[in-house]
Amino acid sequence: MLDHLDKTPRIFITARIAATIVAALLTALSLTVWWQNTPSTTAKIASATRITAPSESTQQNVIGRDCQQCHKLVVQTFPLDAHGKSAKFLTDSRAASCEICHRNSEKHAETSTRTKMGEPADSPANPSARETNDACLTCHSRDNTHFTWTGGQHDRNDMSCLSCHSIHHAKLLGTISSDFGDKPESEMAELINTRLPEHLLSRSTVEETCLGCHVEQRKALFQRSTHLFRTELRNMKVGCTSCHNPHGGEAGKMLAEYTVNNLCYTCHAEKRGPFLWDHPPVRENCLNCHSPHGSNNPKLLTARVHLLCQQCHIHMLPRHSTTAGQALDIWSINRGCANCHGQVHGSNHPGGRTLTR
Amino acid sequence: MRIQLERLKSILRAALVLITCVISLVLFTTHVLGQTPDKDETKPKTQTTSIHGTIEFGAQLRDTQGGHTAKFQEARDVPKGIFIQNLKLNFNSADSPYSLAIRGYEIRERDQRIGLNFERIGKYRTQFIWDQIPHSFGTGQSFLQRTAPGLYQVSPTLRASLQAVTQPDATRTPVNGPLPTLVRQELRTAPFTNVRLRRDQALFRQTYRPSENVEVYFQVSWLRNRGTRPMSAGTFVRRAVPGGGLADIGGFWEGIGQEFLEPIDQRTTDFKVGAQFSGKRWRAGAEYDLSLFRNRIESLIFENPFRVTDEEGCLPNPPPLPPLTCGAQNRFRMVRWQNDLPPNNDSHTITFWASLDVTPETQMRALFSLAYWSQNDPFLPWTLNTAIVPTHWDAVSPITRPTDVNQLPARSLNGKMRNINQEYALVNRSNSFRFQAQYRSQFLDNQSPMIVFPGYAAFGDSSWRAARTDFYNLPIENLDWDFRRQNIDAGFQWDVLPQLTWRADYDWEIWNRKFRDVNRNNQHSIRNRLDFEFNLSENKSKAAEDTSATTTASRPAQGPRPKDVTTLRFKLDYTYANRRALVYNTQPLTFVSNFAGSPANGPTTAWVVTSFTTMNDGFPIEFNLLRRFDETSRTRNDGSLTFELLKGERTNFSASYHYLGDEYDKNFYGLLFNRSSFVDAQFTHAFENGSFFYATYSLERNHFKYRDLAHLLPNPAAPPGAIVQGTLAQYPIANTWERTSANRLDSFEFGINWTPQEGKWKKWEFDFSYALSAARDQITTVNPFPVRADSVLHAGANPYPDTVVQRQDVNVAVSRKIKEGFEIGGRYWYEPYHQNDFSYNVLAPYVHGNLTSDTPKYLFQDARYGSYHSNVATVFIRYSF
Repeated sequence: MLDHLDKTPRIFITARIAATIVAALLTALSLTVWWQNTPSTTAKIASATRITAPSESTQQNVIGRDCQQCHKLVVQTFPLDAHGKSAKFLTDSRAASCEICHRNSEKHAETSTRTKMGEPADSPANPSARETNDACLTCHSRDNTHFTWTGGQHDRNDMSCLSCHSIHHAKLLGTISSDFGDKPESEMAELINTRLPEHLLSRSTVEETCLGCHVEQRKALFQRSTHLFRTELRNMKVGCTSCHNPHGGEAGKMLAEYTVNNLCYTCHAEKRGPFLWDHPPVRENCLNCHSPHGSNNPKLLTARVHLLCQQCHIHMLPRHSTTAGQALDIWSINRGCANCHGQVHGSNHPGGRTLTR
Repeated sequence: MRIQLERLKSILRAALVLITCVISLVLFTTHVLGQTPDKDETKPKTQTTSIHGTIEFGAQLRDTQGGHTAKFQEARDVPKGIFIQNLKLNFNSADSPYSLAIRGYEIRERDQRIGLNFERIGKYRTQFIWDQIPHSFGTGQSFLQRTAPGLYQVSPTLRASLQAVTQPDATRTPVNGPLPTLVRQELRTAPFTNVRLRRDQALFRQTYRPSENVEVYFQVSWLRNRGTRPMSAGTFVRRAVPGGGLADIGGFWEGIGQEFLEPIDQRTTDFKVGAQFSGKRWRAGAEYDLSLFRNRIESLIFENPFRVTDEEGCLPNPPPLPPLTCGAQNRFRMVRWQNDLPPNNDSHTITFWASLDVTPETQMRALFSLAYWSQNDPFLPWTLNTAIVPTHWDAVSPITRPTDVNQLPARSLNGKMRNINQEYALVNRSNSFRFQAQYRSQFLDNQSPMIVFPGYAAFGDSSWRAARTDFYNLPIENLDWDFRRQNIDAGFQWDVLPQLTWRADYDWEIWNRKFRDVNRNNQHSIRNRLDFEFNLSENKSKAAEDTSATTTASRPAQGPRPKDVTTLRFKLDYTYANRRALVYNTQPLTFVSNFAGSPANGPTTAWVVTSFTTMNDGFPIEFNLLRRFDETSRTRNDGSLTFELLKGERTNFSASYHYLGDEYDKNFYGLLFNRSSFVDAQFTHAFENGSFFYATYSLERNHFKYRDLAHLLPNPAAPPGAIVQGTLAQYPIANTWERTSANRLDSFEFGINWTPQEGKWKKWEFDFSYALSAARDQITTVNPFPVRADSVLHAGANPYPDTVVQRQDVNVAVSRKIKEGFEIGGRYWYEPYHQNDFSYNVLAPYVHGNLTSDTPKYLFQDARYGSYHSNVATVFIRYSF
């Protein structure tokens, strides 16, 4: 009876598809790795490394002596973070050093007795957004998450990496350091490193960083229904980066997926379907009915349930007195229309044409 | 189910083996091919890995008062007693390229989160996250008891008792009649259920960089959603009221149905593997993503507490008698109801991307993604009600046993959708001029078969609905509708002056749809934005000199700001968008200029269906003057003004106003306008010692209005030639009404964190914050014309009460350093929540008097949110090492 539903062939079909794709990737990877390691390529890379990376002596010179004279705390804690470690343990172009990121360090050293306002515009103390970003993208353009940074919304708004990140946390270190007056400096630096925000953020959390500029979304923290709900320790479960890619995202609103619905399906895969009876506006855009950050209505709806449905449905059936009738009828209370049409996102039931089951 | 599980396991096994192969081969290849070892392969001389961490533990008291307090813990767990709320461990050393970080938050609570990050700098990174999100809906009370996964039953004795006192549906259920009295009596002893869900998520991600130019990653995430949530099924019955106009039209529409628990046991497993290769001027990558959604409970069956025997709904009179005298009675008369729960589905996505830096300032990039979604769960039968005889409702119906899946025209959908996304962009960034052009396309290609059904069980599973009886002979079929959305946009950003930047964008959005009201939309939008930035500091002449000498590309980044520099920023942003629907498809209703029964001093026109009307297949059966807001023509105005004052690096004040207005054609029905405005103000100040103060205020207003119409049932008294067959029938313009919703949200928040660095309070830290969120929704309805006498009650314009929701949040925290590494502290948290919403104020089953009408036979569980006050006091010890 269920012969035509036998899934066995599909298992193999699915497995074959997966195997084919992974095999293709495997081949591509192997070829690439092989290509990367052929003598000529290795030479190219090494050559490039020589061009961009400073020599060891230069690093030591810059990190260990000149900068430390004024930026003691920064230099002390630097070896513990990713950038500092790259300086010590990597020899390719990713090896960070003061002068790799802070161009014109020599000029800065010459004018170091002057105030920041007196610095030349291209000094390390006064970098432009583009200069900052170019320095960071030297390495981070290789991260797939940064693929669409250039020309993305943040880039177009002239934001720099330092708008959200604090690479050395110099200001915060200055505050914390007074807590540990007599401790050995090396121990102090390690202790400090455990108290700095993660991801080198300039604020304590991702959300605080984002909401600092996106003030409009802050209201969602306390709205009746919200994705920005927090625990009693103010930890956000669904954070800004759960849905947005702050480093790019060509789709509108810097989404982490290509479309709104694709993004929603990552957590709400049960609504992906396909369904026998689809609800086209639902399929086209979840935001037709939902306000994703927060709403004054339940379920993140843009309007009270029956007011929302009525914007598109003048009752194929005249019995639905959700209209200007009595205020507290079945079509207005609780889930409103969804008291009966509970499968508003789609139904796979043969009798679910009106999305009731 | 077994097939699905086996299938999942097979795929899992295959994927895991293959992924392992990928990683192994890459590792193997890297070494076998003799990659020159990096300097970092050499062991550091000292390997003194240090361990640092923080642990915070303590005890908590919680007191929550209110009728329905579940909202307080809607998406969090605030337990009483001992807790470990924060655990941070860092294994890190400057002498080692390795680092390990472990994080634990609210450990052993329902909202715990545990994370691990292991990294070898520049080589690989392993991330693991375990996260739990609870969702509480409240406590419900029901006769239904779960006896098996997806099966909820009611005692047969109780069902027999209730059926025995159920009255015929011809009259409205008396408030204190035998049935409501018995229901209320039995409910007193019905068990309570805590209705809640928990979403558990595990994520593992491995990133590997065989060289600086190659990044390979593999990710597995697993999401489990388990528990129950309220769901319902229902219908309505028609109660004739003497003097209410036509016997079958006037009167009440009494809700009848059942709220139950939807069992949730769902898994979503996602595998992702990808790689990016980078050159000096190019990047290219590919990713494969497999996402499998599995629902362990495929359907839900619940028993009707009011029935022990199946019954068919009251049959309409056979022709030539008027068909409407009985058809809306005796509904919801099944013993068992079966709901379909979300079907299993698969998604395969493969994505390619590449970018090329044509010049140092110009980048071209492309992204192509092909997704394939499928679903093929077996269909459930039309109904479990054995009493339904389709031929009673549709004399020529071929269906003899609607409970038999073999009579379905297909046994499953075999649904397929192809989703193609493409993005191509050209970006140019010179010093003072930036340009971008972009094309995006989303094509949802629905390849599911169209299946024609001969009918289906409707009206509370008690009658049969067929194309001939209710849909004007339009086939009951699923439509393989799909769409393509394309965006072509271009824009530039020009630093006209050192203090002024002009940004302009143009976007052309095209929608092509199949089987919807509008087959094609064009929207053109133009955006202009001006950014002013003035330096108000005393050194402005010098700053300006520096800036102008190096062009505006040297404008300082919006990050750390120099001390003693006061900056003023203005932003003006305006977007105008015009969307047009080329054609709005409607059903061919007939215009009547002098509709019988029209009120004397109102419009006499109407749109009706006649016996000559031939409905169009593929178009929604709706009133022909309705325009749906997501498709119809629209004009959008979106403007904002932002003011920002930055004084040095410590003080910041900003204020903004934002208006977003959507205007629709006022000559039609549906949404007429939707306007929102936002006012935001924010002040922050950081003190010298690291303390800071912040205050924010925002006001959001939303105002929308739509036009609707209370139409009439098929009029049995209509003369020949004006006969209507189905339920969409007569739309008298006199019954037009308009409704507005004016929604306002005030949000206010301020806080101060004080951390003195010296003096007798040196070891103390104080933190205080207060937040208020107050929302009010006012709904008004106006019927500008006299209502026809033969209208149903809802043609009138009755007001709704305002909805008010207020939440406050008060937090006080004090901590003191006892000795190095030890801190002791306390927190007090007060959260009053007030909710007055007519939709939720009274949901107790079978409680009359509080509701004006019409819900007496809808058996709610009363699991809902209400007002509460909650106090939480915490003492904690924080140990850092």
